[in-house]
Order: sequence, then structure tokens, then C-alpha cells
Amino acid sequence: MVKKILRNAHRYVFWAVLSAILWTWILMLCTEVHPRRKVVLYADLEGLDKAAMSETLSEDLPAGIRCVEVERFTDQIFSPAAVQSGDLFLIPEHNAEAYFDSFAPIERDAFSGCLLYERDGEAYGVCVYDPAKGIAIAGRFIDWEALLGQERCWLFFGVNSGHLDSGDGAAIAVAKRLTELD
Amino acid sequence: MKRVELYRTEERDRAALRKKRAKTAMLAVGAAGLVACAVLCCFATRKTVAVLRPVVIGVSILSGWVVIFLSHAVYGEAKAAQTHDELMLSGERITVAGSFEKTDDVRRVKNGVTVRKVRLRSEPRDMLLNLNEEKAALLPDAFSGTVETVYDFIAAYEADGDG
Repeated sequence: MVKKILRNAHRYVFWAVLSAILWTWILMLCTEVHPRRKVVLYADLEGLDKAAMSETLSEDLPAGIRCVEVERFTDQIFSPAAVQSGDLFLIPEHNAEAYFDSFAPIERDAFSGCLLYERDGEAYGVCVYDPAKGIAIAGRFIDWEALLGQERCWLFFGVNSGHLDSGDGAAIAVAKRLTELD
Repeated sequence: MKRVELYRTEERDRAALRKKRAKTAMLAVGAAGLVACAVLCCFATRKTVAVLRPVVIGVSILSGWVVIFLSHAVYGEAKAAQTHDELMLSGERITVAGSFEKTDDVRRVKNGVTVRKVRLRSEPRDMLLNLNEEKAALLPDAFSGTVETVYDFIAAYEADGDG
């Protein structure tokens, strides 16, 4: 009997691999949320507790939004597709200029009282970490000092996001909630 | 001299029944696994998917492995036996006389029965015949007499000197 099983070992292995791939894909389809129903935040920060942040931001969702996804990215996976699809971006200051063309301007009134990233008279981002000014939002998800030291970090808005003021405003609402997190 | 028939219709029918039951079992296990996975997927949400994924994959793999096992260990064996028995019961028989001796040469035919070679010593030449290993116990280790063959498989024998 063992010999029979060993003779057919390739079938068992093939089925195991096929099952894993097939059902992972099916479950992904079952749980995938349409981009119109979610806000995606890309963070250029290693060490971010993205699951906990995502869960916290998803506790108070804007109307029509089913979830907030928080994803880390590196330069390798910060692909054009991610840049084009992301709604919010957490970017350390040294990378802000490199990706600036991917960010949309915002209404200053939406973040009055916050330190804004300005350029050519327009506001593009909100400061989420500045040790000199004592700004450090969402500290329970990000160890800012360990990650960035004295470098500032900004929250930017995706130029192609459908959730800005010109859309349903969900990205703005999530960004406001993010800046209120301690 | 007493003629001994190695193949019976009852054995062929039993093999056919085993094949049918194995097929039913394979379909039942496969369908149950598929339905179970589909039902579990209905409960998948972003919060539960991390727990459900290994369960669904595990159920799928286990049910598939059971089907694979049944297909080669039960269904395949029964199908080979049934096909072989039908061939032997319906094929044209050729009678050969001489001295017969079972050898230790046993080979498994892919998708077929296990075959033991039987040496036939006769004039003008010796040759090797085939014997279904499941019938090996019915044939004496060595004897003189005649055998009936179908496609060089021994289907019946008559040993000299049997009462």
C-alpha cells in the first residue's frame, strides 16, 4: 500500500499545490473590496503595524466605504499601478519630492490647525510626525523616533484617488481620523 | 486428469461491483469536499479570511487526497481486474501442452494486473507464459499437462496424474 502511494506521490503533491493556489485565489475574490468601496493608505514605513492601524481606521468609516486598507511599500513595489491607485500616502520627507507628481492638492480648511506641506501656494500634505514641533500621530502603530529619528513624515493624497473632495471625500475623512489618532 | 478453470464470471462481477462502489465513494468524497469548501467561503470576510484560508485549503487537500487514493488503490485495481477477467472469459483459447514451472519473475503492468511468468518447456521450443499473480496460488509450482491460454495468459490447466 505504501508503495502504491509513493508511486502516485506526484499526484498528491500536485493536488496540494493546486488546492492552495486555487482556494487562496477564490478567497481573495470573495473578500476583495471594490476600489470605490475602500480607502487605501500606502506607507513608506517599515515597522508599521498595518493590521492594527487598518482595523482602527475601519472602526469609523465614511458612508459608502467598507474598509480602510493599510499597505507598506518599498521602492521596488512602489509601482506606477500603486501610485495611480492609492488614496493616501505616508511618506518620509526625504522621499516627498521624488513622488510629488503623484500627489493631489487639498483644501487648507480641511486640516486647519495642522502643519501643511506647501508648494507653489497650494497645500499638498499634512504633517503627521515632526519631533521639533511635538507632532506624532498614531504613535501606538508607528515607533516614529526609531523609524525616522528627526526626519518629518507627511500624509499625502493620491492624484488619481476617487475619494477626494472631487469624489466622495472619503479619503479626506479617513485622513482627518488618522491625524486624530494617538 | 482434472481441468481447473482459473477465471469465473462471479469474480469478474465482483470486480465490477468494487469498481462501481469505488467510483461512488470517489464522487461522494469529492462532492462533499467541494461543498464544504464552498460553504466555508460563504463565511469569508476580511476579518475571518486569515482563519478560514488554512481550513478551506486543508479540507480541499484532504478530500482530494482521499479521492486520489481511492482512484489508484481501489478503483484502478478493480477496473484492471474487471478488464482482465472479461478478456480472459471472452477471449479465444489456445491449448498448449508441456512442462510448466512458475518463475520468480513478477511484474506489475501499468494500469493492469500483476503478472508472474510461467516457463513452458515443450518441443520444439520453450517459452514464457503469463499468469495473473492473483491466480498464482491456484496453479501448482511445477507440473506437466496442458494449459489453455488467452493472449499468452494461462486461463485454465490440466495436470497429468490429477485424480
